[in-house]
Amino acid sequence: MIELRNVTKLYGTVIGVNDITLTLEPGAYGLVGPNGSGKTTLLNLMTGQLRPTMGTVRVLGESPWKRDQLLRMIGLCPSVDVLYSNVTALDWVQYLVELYGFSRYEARERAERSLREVGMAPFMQRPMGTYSLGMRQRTKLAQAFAHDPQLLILDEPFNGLDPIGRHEMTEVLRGWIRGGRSLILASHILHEVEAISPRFLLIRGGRVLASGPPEEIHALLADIPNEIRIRCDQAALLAREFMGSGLAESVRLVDDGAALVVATRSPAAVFEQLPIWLERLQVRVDEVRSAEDSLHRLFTSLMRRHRGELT
Amino acid sequence: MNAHGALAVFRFELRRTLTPSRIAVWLMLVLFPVFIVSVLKYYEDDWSQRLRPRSARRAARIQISESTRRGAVDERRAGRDRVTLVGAAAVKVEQPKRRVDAGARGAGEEDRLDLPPGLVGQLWAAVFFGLIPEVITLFGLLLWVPTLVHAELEGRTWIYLAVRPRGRVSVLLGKYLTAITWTMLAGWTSATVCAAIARPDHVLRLWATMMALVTLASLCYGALYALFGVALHRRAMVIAVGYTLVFEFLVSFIPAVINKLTVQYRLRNLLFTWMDWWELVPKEAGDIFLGTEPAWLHLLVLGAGVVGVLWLATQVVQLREYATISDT
Repeated sequence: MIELRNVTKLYGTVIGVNDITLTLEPGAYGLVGPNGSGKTTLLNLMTGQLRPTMGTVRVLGESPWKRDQLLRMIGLCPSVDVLYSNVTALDWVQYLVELYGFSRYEARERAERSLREVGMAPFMQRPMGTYSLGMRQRTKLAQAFAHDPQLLILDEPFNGLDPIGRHEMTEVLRGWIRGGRSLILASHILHEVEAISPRFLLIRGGRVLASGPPEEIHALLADIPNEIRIRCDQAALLAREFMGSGLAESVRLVDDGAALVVATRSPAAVFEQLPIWLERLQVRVDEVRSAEDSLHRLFTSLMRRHRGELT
Repeated sequence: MNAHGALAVFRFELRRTLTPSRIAVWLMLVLFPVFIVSVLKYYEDDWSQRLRPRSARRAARIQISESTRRGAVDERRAGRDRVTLVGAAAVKVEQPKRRVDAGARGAGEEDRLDLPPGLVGQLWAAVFFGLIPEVITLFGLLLWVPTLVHAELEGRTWIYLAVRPRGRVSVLLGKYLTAITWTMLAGWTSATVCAAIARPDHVLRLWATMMALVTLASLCYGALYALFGVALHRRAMVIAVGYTLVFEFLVSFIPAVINKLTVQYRLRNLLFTWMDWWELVPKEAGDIFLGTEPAWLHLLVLGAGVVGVLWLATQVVQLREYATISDT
């Protein structure tokens, strides 16, 4: 479905994506990476909005650059918000569908159908300036698949959605995949992608660092110590308990002994044991939080591995 | 050419831009010449009176014989013809000056000349030309055309359009059509109201000429600004203003081949042709500033220019990579 060979995109001296080679068969993929990692550049290369500085991109067997027929088979939901405040969702989606060459009548029908599918039927006659972020996200999704593309590309589609909205969006996308059509979903939040896509591409610094099913990603995560920061009134006492338990890789006191940072490969066991110790030692805890989120740690670790700092 | 897509963009943009702020700007464009013309009309008697001695002095200063203008013209008539330059347009006093009978006038009025018939009408036409096809049209187009891509990029809506088949070309042509529609409507409305207020000689002819010139100016300058808008979108407005001031208002008066490349040169010629002012211009001035080509050739050049420039713009807009987001 998508083939990239040694693709590099430079913005002047800034690297957008760096020597990416990958082949994606038809199916659903999650493109996961932190902000600024090159996800949008990669998607723009796939949709023909950018031309690679080096290498070749082929989508559905064709180079996407200046291929209008190919664009009919792709639906894109960009990450950027819609700012036509005085236009209704129905008018906007109809307009975008018309640009695929559909008549006004057919474009109207398709726009209504796709807006209904994303739960926007009651609001589609209202100006978009009155919409919540979640409603705008759903409208953006509707415009992406209203023309029935073969490949749907979504860039951060869950931004601004509340839990119910996320669930509804997830169901819509699962339905899309069940229909046998392809999907590429870019996000910086792992569990959002995990709920929909069976395969991941991890991207950072313009490079694809890892790819595979969720199990492989979790295996990578398991190898990386998790840091937990605990602010309490007896940090030194708690630190001694951690060191004696064997649950911690390392423990260090910070903030002049007012808090401790515990590195562990078994965060679940730590969170299970912690209340027992707190009760026994009569320690009062003010704050417990993970010092880094797991995805960030994963990317840091993968980058170090990529540079040869880790084996 | 994607006519369906361009029309879809045109319809959408026309509806979307029908906002109070856009209508207010449009009204200001319409009312600016109306205001100037109204003031001039109100004081018409005053300034037309003052024209008499001034025109007489100027006529004496730049008296140019008709024989040097068109070659073989009657010698007797040549000695009577005089020319007055009014702004950008050379307007000749139509009639030979009749010296006022000194006995019939008071002391000190012997040198005064009668106001030549038609002069006021020609001045009105010059004012109309300066205000409507030039000021109104250029302001309108400068406001709405050069930003056609940049506004979408700023509004972060470009990517939604660019991923449609021929979407970029549709946006270019659709927004070009929208901008020239707004501008032409402003020019046409303004010309109609101004003509109704001023009611100069040959008002219908002047009105029709202004309508045609507004249409041509909108099409031509709109195409040029659209090219700037797609090729140099970040500085398109500045470049369009600079181009207009330097190229259209200075270079178009340079007596060399280069002035034939300007739209202004063609529009001036058409103004003189359609207002039938050729008899009023000395040949040298006419050849230098207005050219000798027939009107159909000017129309052909302008039409071909619009098509050529728009074609170039469509090529540029398809080949350019527009950065759509800071995320790399």
